[in-house]
Formats: sequence, C-alpha cells, structure tokens
Amino acid sequence: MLKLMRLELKRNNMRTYLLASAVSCVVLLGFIYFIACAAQLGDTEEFRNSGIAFRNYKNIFRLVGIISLVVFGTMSAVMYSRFIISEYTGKRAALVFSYPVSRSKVLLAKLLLVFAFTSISMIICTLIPYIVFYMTESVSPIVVQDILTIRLVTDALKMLGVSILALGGIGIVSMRIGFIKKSVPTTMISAFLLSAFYGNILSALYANTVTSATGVLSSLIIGGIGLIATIFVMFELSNKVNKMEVE
Amino acid sequence: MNGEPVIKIEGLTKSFGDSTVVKDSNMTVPKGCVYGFLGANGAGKTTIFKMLTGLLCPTSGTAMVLGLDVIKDREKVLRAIGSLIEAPVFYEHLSAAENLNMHLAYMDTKGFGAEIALDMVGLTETGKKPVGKFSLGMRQRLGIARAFIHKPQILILDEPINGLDPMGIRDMRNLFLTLIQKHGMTILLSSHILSEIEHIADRVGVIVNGTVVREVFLEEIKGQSGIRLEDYFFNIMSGGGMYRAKVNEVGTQTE
Repeated sequence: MLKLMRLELKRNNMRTYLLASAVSCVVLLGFIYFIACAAQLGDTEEFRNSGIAFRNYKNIFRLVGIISLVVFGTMSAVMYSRFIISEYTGKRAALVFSYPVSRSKVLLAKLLLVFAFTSISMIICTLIPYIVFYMTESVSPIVVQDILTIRLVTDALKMLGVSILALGGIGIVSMRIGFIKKSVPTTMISAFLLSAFYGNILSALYANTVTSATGVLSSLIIGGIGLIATIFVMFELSNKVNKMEVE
Repeated sequence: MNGEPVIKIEGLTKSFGDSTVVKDSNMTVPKGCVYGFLGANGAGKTTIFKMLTGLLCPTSGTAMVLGLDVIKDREKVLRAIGSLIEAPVFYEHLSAAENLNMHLAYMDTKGFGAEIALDMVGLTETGKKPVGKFSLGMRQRLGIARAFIHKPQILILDEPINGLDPMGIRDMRNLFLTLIQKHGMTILLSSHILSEIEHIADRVGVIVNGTVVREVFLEEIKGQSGIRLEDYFFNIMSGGGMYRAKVNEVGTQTE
C-alpha cells in the first residue's frame, strides 16, 4: 500500500497543494489577528449587548476552527476530484486499469493519500496560527477583555481533532456526490456546503459543552459520523470501480 | 506459425444498451505470430481489444489470454500483456523515462529498462522534456515503448503506426519483428494501412459489423496468385462478389 501511495505522490504534481496549504496557513494567521483586532474596534455598548462579539478567545478559536474546516474541506474536495474523479473519467481510466494491481488497492491508496495529506496540512496550518497567536497574546495581548489560558488552547485542539475526522467525511462524501456526474464543480459546492454545515454544528457544540460528558459524546458522534461515512463511501466506491468499464 | 493459441475468443458479444457492437465473434491468435486485425471504422476492433485487456466486460462469450479468463484472472492477464489502445495517455508533467519507470513500478518488474526501451523506439534524446510537449509521433513511439517495456508475452496494439512518418513506420515494423524473433512475443495489431499489414502480418482476421467473419494465414492469400490483401479485404467488406470476380479473372487468365 505504501508503494502505491508513493507512486500516487510521484505521478501527481503535489506542488500546487503544498502551495495552497502554505497560503491557507498565512490566511488563517492573518484571519486570527483580523478577528482579534476587529473585536477591539467593535467594542461598543451595542456590540457588547449583541452577544456575538469576539472579545473572548473562545469565540476567536471557534471562528478560526470553522474557517479552517471550510478551507481544508474544500481543498480536500479539490484533491479528491483530481485524484479520483479525473483519474476514473475518460481515457485516463484506461491507464489506471492497465496495471496488474487490484483496482480496490489503487483506489484505497488514492483515498488514504488525500486523507493523510489534507489532515496533516490542516493540523500544521491551523496549529501554526494558534501557536503564533498564543505566543504574541502572552507577550502583548490584543484581546484585553479575556485571559488566554492553556485550557482554551487545549479545547481548540480538541475541536481540531474532531474537525480532522469530519474533514475525512466531508471530502470523501462530497467527492462521492461529485462522482455521480463526474463533476468537479459539484464536488466543490458539496464540500463547501458540508464544511459550513459541519463547522457550525461543531462550533455550537464547542461553545457550550466540549468538556462535559455530553460534549465528549457529541464530539465522538460527530467524528464517528465522518468516519462511518468515509468507510461506507470507500466500500461503495471500490465496488463501483471494480465493475467500471472504459468505453 | 501454427503454434498453440495465446488468445482465443469464442462467441464474444458486447452490447451497450440496445446497441450490439460485437456479435458472436470467434478469433484465434497463434503463439509467435503477428496477427493483423482488419475492419472498417466502427466495426468493433477496439471494443474487442478493450475486452481482451479487461477494460470492457463481455456481455456473453469468453475471451481467454494464455488460457486465462480476462475477467476472472484480470491481474494475471494484465501482467502478461502490453497494450496500446486508442491515443496513449501519459502523465504529461513527467518525462518519457519517468513515465516508463512509473509503468515498470506498477508492473513490478525491471523489464527492458527505460533507457533501452526508449532507444528501441528512437526516443533517446528526449531527456527531461515533459511528455506534454511531445509531438503526436513521439507520443505514439512512447506508447509503443510502454506497451513492451515490461517484456510481456503478448502485445495488443490498436493502430500503432498512427501519426508516424514513413521512417517511423519502417522502424516500428523492424521493432515488431525483433520483439517476436528475439523476445518471443506475439503481436495482435489493427491498422487501416493494408500494405503495412501485408508486410508484417502472418495471419489476418477481418471483422465486419461486429462479427469476425474471416481468419486466414497470409500465406494462403499470397498463395493465390494475383490476389493481394487489399483485394481480399475489399472483397470481404463487399460481401464476396469482388473476390469471386477476381478469382474468376485470374482463373481465366491461367487457362
């Protein structure tokens, strides 16, 4: 399997995705400071009463978590489109099917590679802004109304962990939706909608109950749904690819 | 040349919805020969090639390669054959050698090696040039190299000389003979250039409207003086009238 994944890496140009990850990291870093600064600018009586202000770190981390999920959910959909939909469409499929390797194994190698790449990218590119923000806030805080504790950071990391499981589900389910019509735009739109939907649920959960037993259970359910969706689509798609013909 | 069959199809039929593209076809390719597969556009040549390489599943009938069923033993069959079907597809950002090495990695064999294979098809000086910048003829040569680089027992080539210049056609003709004589391969190929088939084929099969209607050793055609492959082919395509007239004409001249 590792050999197949290495071959996938070699025959697909990964430079674009590495660049996209780096840009996402910079954007998330800029975004976290933007929200923190915006919270100070909007620190009016009316804004405070509205209850939606980002004057506390928890809300800042929540929003960055959602944006990160949407960004990497969409990126994973782009990668799945390139690695799966394009590969199994038209004449390219004839090339993939000409190798004396189990079609299921080749498909699994592609899925695992995209999942591993997007998960690692998401971890690194979300952690870097968190760490940089944590360090600068410890020295010279922008958000003066709240105290940044290590617990807030660990809670954000928990949300990130559940987001990664959700990410796998979002990418693979949206790819499966796009695969019906072999359409990249359909995949992207599905990924965007699923990420936004999933991100909001996760954010709402994180806002109230992340540390309670119900919160942990809910997180497991959300992550579990992503995992089950991933496994289901993998089996279903594997069957489809095994029976696929190249006309 | 009457070796054991390495490819044998029996009652092969392929339908797409209501349309039947290949109908109850039989075909036998003996070991160590060049089998020229002839037919008009849309006759079903490529569909049969795709069934032999596992890209399509037969609706009914069987397709055996080296005694293996192409569907049940797909991976074993793919290891034993090399193919070039329709326009070859490559990893466009990779060089010719990188494309071939990739193929060898999937085939899990060293084969001829990329350098030797490129030399055999006359693509020695492509260096690191990405395949995306290759001309049609270069792509075709590379497609042929990819088909044989892993030293398969059978080569299935669909219009292999498409896009090649006369020099290229001659080079490929010599290459095919080398692959058969020195490396024991069997070649099944299709081409619309009848003179080329006449040059290299040992046996020909003719497919008309999805059915293989005739299989004959070229020696048998050549044995009938005055009958060229072109006459033979057009006769079959036209239902037999031309051939009978030609045979009668030759017969009259002989008398």
